[in-house]
Amino acid sequence: MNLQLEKIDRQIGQTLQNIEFELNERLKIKEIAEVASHKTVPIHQQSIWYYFGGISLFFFAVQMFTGILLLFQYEAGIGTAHASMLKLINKVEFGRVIRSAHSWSANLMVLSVMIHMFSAYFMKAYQKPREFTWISGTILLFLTVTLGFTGYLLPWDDLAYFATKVGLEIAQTTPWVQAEWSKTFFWPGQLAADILRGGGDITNITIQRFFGLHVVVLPWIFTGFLGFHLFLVQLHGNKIPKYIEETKNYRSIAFFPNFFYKDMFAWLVCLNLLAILAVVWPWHLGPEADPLAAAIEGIHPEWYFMAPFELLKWTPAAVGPINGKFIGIALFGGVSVLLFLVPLWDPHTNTGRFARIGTYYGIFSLFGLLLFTFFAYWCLDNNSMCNAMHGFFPSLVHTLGIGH
Amino acid sequence: MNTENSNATNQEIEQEQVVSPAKRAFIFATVSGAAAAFAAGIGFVAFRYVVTGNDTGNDSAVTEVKIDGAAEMPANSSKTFKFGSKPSILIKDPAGAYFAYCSVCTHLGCNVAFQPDQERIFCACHGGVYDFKTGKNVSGPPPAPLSVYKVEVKPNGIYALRA
Repeated sequence: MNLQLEKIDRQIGQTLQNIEFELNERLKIKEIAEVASHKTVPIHQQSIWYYFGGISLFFFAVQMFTGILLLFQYEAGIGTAHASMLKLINKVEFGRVIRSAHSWSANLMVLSVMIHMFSAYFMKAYQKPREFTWISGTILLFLTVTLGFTGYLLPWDDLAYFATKVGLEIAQTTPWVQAEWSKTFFWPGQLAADILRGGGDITNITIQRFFGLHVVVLPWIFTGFLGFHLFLVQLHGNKIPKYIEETKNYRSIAFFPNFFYKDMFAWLVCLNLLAILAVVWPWHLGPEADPLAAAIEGIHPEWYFMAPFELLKWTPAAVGPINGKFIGIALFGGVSVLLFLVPLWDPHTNTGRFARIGTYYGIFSLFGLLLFTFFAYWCLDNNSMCNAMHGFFPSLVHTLGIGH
Repeated sequence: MNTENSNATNQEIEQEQVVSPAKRAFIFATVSGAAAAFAAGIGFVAFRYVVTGNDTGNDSAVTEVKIDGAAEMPANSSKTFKFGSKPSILIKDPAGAYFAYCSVCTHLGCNVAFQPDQERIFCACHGGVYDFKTGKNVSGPPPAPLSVYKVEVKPNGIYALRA
C-alpha cells in the first residue's frame, strides 16, 4: 500500500518537474524569478509613502473592473443616459454599489495619486536618474484628473452638465485679451473645446465623445504611460531620502514575497474601505440635466477642482486688456507646470540653493492647494467674509483704474 | 546547433561590413523623412476629420421667439425659454415690466438665475451678479453684460427679439 503511494507521489513529482521544465523552456520563468529575487525595498521611517503608488494602481484596477460592469448598463445619449443610471441604481442588483464604488474609487485614486506625487516630490525622487519616472507620473496625474472630468458628464445630471460647461469654457479662455482679433492668434483652446463638444453647445454628440474618451481613449493612453512608469520603477528601485541614506538608517527587505505581502495588505485595507464607503454612503445622482435651468445655489465641482474653482472667484473681471479668468487659470496652471517640471530646475543636488528652493516651492504649492480648497468649501454659502475677500482684487484694480 | 544565434551573428557581420556611416545617415534621413511625410498626411486627414464635423450652431437665423405663458407670469418672477439654441430668461419686475436676456453667464457659461428677493441676476457657479433691468455685470467675475433681447408685447403674445 505504502509502496503504491510512494510510486504515485514520485510520478506526480516527475510530472510537475516536466511541466516546470517545459514552461521554463518557453517562458524563462526561472530567469524572471531570478531577477525578481534581487528586487528589494528599503524600510525606514518614511517607508509608508512607498505604498501610495501601489494603492493608486489598486484603485485603477478597481476602475477597470467596475467600469466594465457599468458598460453593461450605461446608455450614452441625452434621452438615455440619466434613465439608464436610474435603472442601474433602482433595478439592477448591486447596481448602486458598483456605481458608488466606481465614483468613490475615482476620488480615492485622485487622492492617492496626489499623495504619491507630493511624497515623491519631497523625497526628491524626481532627480537623476528618475526624471522620466517623475514626468510620466505627472502625465498619469493629468490623465487621472481628465478621466474624472470626462466621467463626470456621463450620468447627465444637473451637476454633470454645468461642471462640463465650465470645464470646457476654461479650456477656451486662451483668447486672453478681450478682443476679437486675439481669437485669430489664440484659437487652440477654442478649437479643443469645440472638438470636445462637437460644436458650440453641449449636445448628444458631446456625451458620446466624452464617453469614447472616458472608456477607450484615455484608459489606453493611461495604460501605456502606466507601463512605462512601472518599468522605470523596476529599473531604478525606490528612492531613499538623502538624510536616511547618509545615516544608513534603513534596512532592505525582498520585494517578493515580503514587501509584496505588505502591499497586498494595504490593498486589502483599501478594498474594505471602498466597500464600506460604497455601501454606507452611496454616490449621489442628481435630477436629469436641464440645459435651460439655472445653476443651483451652492454648485461646486469635485474636491480636487475646488482650489482652481475658488481662485476663479478671486480674480477681477478684467485687468487692462487681459481677461480676468485667464489670470486665474494661468496662475494655477503656471504653479502646476513649474511643479511638474521640477527635474529641470532642481536636477541633481540634495543640498544647496536649488534643492532648498525646490523644497520650499513644494511646501508653497501644497499649502496653497490646501488653503484654497479650504476657502472654497468655507465660501460655498457666500458669507460676507468671503464676499469681502473675493471683492478685494476687483476693487484694487478698479481703484488703480486698470480694470474692474 | 542553435540557428537563432547564427542568424544574429550573420546580421552583425553584414552590418559591420556593408553599411558605411554616410550610407547610414542617408538611410536614416530618408526613412525619417518618409515617416514624417506619412505622419503629416495622416495627421492632416485626422485633424480635418475632427474639426469639420462640428455643429458651430448658427443661431443668427432666429430673430424672434414667442414666449409661451409669459402673460400669465406673476410680478417679480422669471421664466426660462429657448432663443434658437441659447438658454434664455424672461423677467417680470414688480411693476410689471418685462426684461429678457440670454441666460448664459459671460464668465464661464453657467445659466444665471433671477433672485426676486434681492432684485438681481445671480450666477451660482462663481458668484457673478448682473443688474436685472439692464443685464449689466455689477460685481463678481463676469467680464461683460448679458446679451439683451428686446421684449415686445403683441396682441397674440409676448415676444423676445434679437436686439
